Amino acid sequence: MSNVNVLEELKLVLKPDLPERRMVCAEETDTSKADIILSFYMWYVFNKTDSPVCMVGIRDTYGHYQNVGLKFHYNLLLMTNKKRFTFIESVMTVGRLVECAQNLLEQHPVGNVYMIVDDISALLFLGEKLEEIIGFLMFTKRHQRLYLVFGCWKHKFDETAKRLTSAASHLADIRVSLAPLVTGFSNSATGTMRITSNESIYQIEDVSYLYKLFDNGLTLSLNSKTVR
Amino acid sequence: MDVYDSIIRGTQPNRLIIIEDSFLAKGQFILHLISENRKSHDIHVLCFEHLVSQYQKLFPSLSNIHYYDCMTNILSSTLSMYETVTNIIAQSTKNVVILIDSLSMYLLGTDFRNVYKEVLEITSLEKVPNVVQLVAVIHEDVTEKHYTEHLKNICKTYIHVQNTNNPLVLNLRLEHKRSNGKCVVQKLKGELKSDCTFKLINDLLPQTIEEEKGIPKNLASFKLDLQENEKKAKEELVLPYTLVQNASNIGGIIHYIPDEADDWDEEDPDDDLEI
Repeated sequence: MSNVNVLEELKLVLKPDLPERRMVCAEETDTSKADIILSFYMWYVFNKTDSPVCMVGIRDTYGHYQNVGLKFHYNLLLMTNKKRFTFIESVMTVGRLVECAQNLLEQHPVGNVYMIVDDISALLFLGEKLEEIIGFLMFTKRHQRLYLVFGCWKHKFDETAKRLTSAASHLADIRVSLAPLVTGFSNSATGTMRITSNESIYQIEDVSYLYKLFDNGLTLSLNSKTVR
Repeated sequence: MDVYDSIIRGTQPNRLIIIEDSFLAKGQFILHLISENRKSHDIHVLCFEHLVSQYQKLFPSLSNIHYYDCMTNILSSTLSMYETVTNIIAQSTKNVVILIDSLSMYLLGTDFRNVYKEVLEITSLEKVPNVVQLVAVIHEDVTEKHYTEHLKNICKTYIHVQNTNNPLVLNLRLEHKRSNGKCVVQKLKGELKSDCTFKLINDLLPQTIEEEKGIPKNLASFKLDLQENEKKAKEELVLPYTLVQNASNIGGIIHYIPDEADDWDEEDPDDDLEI
């Protein structure tokens, strides 16, 4: 299965075109990383829409995401030259995040805009309070044109980080939970990807995949699916 | 006693209900069911977690349901929960039911002691008699356990929503405090249906209502509790004065034979009374 096929399959499940799915939480557990989900959304926005993307790299650098992007069939440098992509580093406060969002909305007064934050839980370790990070998420919810995709690390020993991840999951429209295999390492799978969304109280989608990361891409195999 | 039914239908007074849920076992459906069964009240939903427009899709489209945007605003201050409720009361003429989704989000930005005090004030019969019920959702994966325990201590009914392997099937554990001080526990299992109902699954053993806090035994030299045969005899006892109130049991009749000197009047002496 080529990377594009995998991304097209993910698109059918994640449904990024739905206006009800403006806030996406990619939950990381243990050694799993949300890069594949962040990259999926960047692939979708660059290839399927005309919207701009502002990425805030709190944990990783521009170079890292450029390398990942090339494997997922998009070029960040090219997008930067086309004025469709901005990368912001050295954001260490919630106030700066809010500023980035406000600038993005002001610079593009029409149409949807995308903001991607690679790891909001890192702000906790930079001294920001849990309630302020949640305040930023609520700020983005109030702006209908702003789509937010963010990673959040669920540290198994840090109760505050766990609570932040849970609160972010409750606020988000869709949560993608990535975790390594419980039983240990495997040649055929890197980990599990569980996609949960609540369209309404009585409409729940819960899809679980086994995913395998290669040097050049990603494969998925369906684990379980509940859709109502 | 079917605790679940009495809570949903609102058949008994219950000023504070706490619903503890989690991301994979959401308790919002209980708010939905309660709102459908309070049509004679004004229902006010304090929206702490999502936009009002999202809640309007979650709840039934009834004219007695009103929504308030209580999400934290990072750029300006927001009213406290108590201030929002007092503003609601000032404009409401009917009895009021307050639904909060979720108290966990409010607790993130407010000191617990203030929230505790606000909950006590809102559910106080003296301060806010119009508010007949407060139902709040708390997320067990967001709020610290000891805060939930403190709130559980002051509520009349506590409902714990638990997930199963199927995201549409949920376990409920209800703990209800009766007015006589006893606590009743009920465990249920049900499925969320697409027609906005929660269908109880009957393949489980029918409710396991147990009285957790009964009369203590072995505390005195005389017996305080009743055994089953004694309870049955008590229920079957018919007190003598109840017979009189039952018209079908009149056994006596008075026969009056007037004397020759009696002035027997066929007319009703009370006929002139306008009764």
